[in-house]
Amino acid sequence: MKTLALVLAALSALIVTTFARDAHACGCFTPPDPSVPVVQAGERILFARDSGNVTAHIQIQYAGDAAEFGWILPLPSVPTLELGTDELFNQLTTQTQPKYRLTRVFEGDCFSRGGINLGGFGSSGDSAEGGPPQVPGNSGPIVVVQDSIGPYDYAVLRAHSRVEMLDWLERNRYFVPAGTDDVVSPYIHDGAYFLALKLRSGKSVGDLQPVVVKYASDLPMIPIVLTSVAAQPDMGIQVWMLGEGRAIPRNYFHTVINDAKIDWFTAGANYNDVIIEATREAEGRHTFVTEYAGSSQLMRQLLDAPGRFGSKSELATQTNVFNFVNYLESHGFLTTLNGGSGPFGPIVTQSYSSQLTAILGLYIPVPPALAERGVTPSQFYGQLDYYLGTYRGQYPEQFIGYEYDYRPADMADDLWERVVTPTVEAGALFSKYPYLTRLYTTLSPEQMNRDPVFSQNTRLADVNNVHEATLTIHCGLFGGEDIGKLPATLKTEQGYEFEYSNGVGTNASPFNPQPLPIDVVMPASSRIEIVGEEGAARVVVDNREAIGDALDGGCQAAPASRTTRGGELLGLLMLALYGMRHALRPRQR
Amino acid sequence: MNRAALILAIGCAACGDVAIEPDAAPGSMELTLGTVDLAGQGFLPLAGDQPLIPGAQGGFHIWVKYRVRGHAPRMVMVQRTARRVEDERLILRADGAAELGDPGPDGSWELASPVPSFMCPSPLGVKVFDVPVRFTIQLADPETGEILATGSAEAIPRCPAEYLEFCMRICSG
Repeated sequence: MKTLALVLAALSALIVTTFARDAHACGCFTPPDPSVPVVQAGERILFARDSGNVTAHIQIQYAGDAAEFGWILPLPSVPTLELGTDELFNQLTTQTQPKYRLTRVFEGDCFSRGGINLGGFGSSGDSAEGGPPQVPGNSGPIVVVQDSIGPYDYAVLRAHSRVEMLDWLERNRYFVPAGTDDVVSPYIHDGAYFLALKLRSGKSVGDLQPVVVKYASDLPMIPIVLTSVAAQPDMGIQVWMLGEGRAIPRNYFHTVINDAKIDWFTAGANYNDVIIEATREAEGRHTFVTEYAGSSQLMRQLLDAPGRFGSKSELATQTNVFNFVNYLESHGFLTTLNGGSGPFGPIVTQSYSSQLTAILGLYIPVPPALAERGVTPSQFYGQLDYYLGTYRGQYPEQFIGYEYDYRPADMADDLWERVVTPTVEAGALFSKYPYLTRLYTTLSPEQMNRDPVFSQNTRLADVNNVHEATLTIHCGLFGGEDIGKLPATLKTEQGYEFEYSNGVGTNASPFNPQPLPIDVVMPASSRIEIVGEEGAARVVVDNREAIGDALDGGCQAAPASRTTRGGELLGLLMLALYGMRHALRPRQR
Repeated sequence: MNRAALILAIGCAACGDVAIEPDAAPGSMELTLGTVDLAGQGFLPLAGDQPLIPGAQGGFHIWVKYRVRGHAPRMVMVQRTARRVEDERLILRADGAAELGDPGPDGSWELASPVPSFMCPSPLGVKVFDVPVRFTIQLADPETGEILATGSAEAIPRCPAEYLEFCMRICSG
C-alpha cells in the first residue's frame, strides 16, 4: 500500500526586531507576528468531550493513489459520521501556533554616530509568515451501517472477529494496509466497532475531507498503535481538545521544552527539531507538549461569523458563473487566515479551500491546458472572469473542447453539504466549550505502542502560545561601527541568559543564522512531568539546573541568573560613563 | 490476575439480582451502585473482584450501574469518579446528565444500561488492577448544583486471563 504520507511544509519565518534608543524596549515598531514554521502533522484531531460523549474532528492526511486510500478507526460504540472542514484545522493552526518573539533592547547610545551598520537585523520589517444511514438488508451481520457521505463510502463494522472484519473489508474493496493484521488485535472485542472509509468511485485524493465522528466514551483516545502501520519517522501528532479546562495526556508524560534551544533569531524556525529532540528525552518517547491552553475565545465566530455564506437560495439563483464565484468571494466562502500583524497592518490571506475547489471543479473544471501551465484551481477561480474572458480571447487554442456545466442549484446544494454546514457546526463548538488546549508530539512507528488517552485538569494554569525573549545590545557610551559586534545578552522567557561577548554578528537573518545557545550541548526538555486529572503537575525530570550550568559553562544556574561575560571591567567602566552622560543630559519632559 | 479472581467474578455475575442496601439515610434520595453480569445484564453488587472488560479502543473498563430510590422523575447531573483506595489517586472523573424516570413498583428507578467506567490505559503512575478502587456517583441538580444523592462502592479490578499481559501493561500506569 501507499502509506499515509506526511507533507512537511516548512514556511519561512520572520525575524523580529524591536528598535529602541537608549536603554528602553520601545513600542516604536510593531513587530510582525512570527509563528514557528507550520509542520504538517501526520494526525490532526480536535476532540470535544462532555457528558460521556466524544466528538472528534479528524483531518485525514494521505498522498497516494485514490484506489489505495483506506482508513479505519476503532470505536467503543456505533458512531455517527459527518463531514468536517479543513478550514477548522487551518484556523486552529493559525490561531494557536507557537510564536517566538525577540525584542531587541539597545542599552547605551547606539545610534548617535552616523553611518552605523545595523547589520542584517536592521531591516526587520520584511515579513513572510511561516509560513441517517441505512442498514443494508443483505449485508452480513458484521455490518452495522453502510452508506456514503460526501466523497466517502463508509461502513461501521462489528469488531468481534479480526478475520471476519478484514475479510469483509477486502471483499468490499476497502483498502487495508499491509501489517494491519498484526496491530488490529487489541481493538477486536465483542461490543467494539470499526469505522472504515474509502473514496467513492470517481473521487480523487483531492476530494479528501475531514470527518467528524461522534461516539459514546468517557475519554478520547488516538489509536496510535493502528497508525503505526502507515506512519513515518518523527511523525507529528497534533491534538486540540475542547472542554471545561486544560487537557492533559492521561497516560503520556508532559514535557516543557527548554526555550534556550529555540532559535529566537529566526522566530523559532527550529521549533520542530526541538520538539523531536525533547520528545526523545522522555521514557518511551511517550510525551506531549502543551502549545496552547486557554480560552477558546480566539476561535469564536471565525468559522461561523453571523451572515457568513449568505443564503443558499440566493446563491442558487446567480445567473452566470462569474456572479456565482463573486458571490462566494463576497460571502466568506474563501478561507481567511489572520496571520497576525505586520509592519503595514494585519497579515490576512484568503484562499480557496480544497473542498471549495473540488466542488467547483465538478462543474467548472480548470481547463487542462491551464493546469498544464501551472495555473492552480485557486488562481483559476480567483480570476475566473480573466481566464474565461480576456485570456480565453487571447489564447483560444487553450480552450478547444473546453466546456463548463453551470448548474447553480446543484452547486449550491453541494456547497451547503460539504462546506457551509460542516464549517458552521465546527464553529459552534467554540461557543459551547470555553477552554481550548493544543498538544503536540512526534513519534516514530517503533514508539507507537501506547494509545494516548486525554482527559482534563481544570486547575492547571493556562499556557500562552506567544513567547518572548529579549536581546540587549550593550552599546556603551559610544556605540560602535557595527552593532552586530557589540556585546549582547539574550534572555529567554524561561530566564536563561546567553552572552555574546563578541556580538551576535552583522548579518543576523533567517538566511544567515547567528551563533546561538542552541549550539550548547544541553537537554531539549526543561522538565518532564506527570499531569493528572487533579492537583499540580509532578516533575519527574528537572533539567533546569543542568541547562543553566551548560549555558554558563558550568558556573551558574539559570533561570534568573546573570552570567558574567568577557570584558566585564570594561563594561563596568562604560556603564559608569554611560550613567554620567545621562546624568549630564537635560531631563526631557 | 489470578484465575480464582475471574472465577469469583463470573460466579458473582451468575448470581442474578440480589438485594443491595442503599447508601443514603431513609427519607432522602438514595443511590446505590451496582454492576452487571458478563452479558451486561442484571444488577449485581459492585464489590469484591470485578473483571476489567476489554473496550473497543484497546482499553479496559468496569461496568457500573446505579439505582435510585425516593426520587421524583427529573433531570440530574451525574458525576462519576473512581479512586484508588490506598492513596486516593484519581483514576477517572466523568460528568454527564441523566433523566431519572418514574419509580417502578418497588419504588426504585434503575439506569437502563451500564456505563463503562474507563480504567485503562490508567493515568501515568497509577496501577489500577489488583488494588481496591472506590467508585462514587454523585447526582446533582443541574440548575443549582445541589447534591441530591451520593453513592459509592469498592471493588478490586482484575485483568482478564485472556488479555492478562496486555491488560497488566496498560493498567500499570
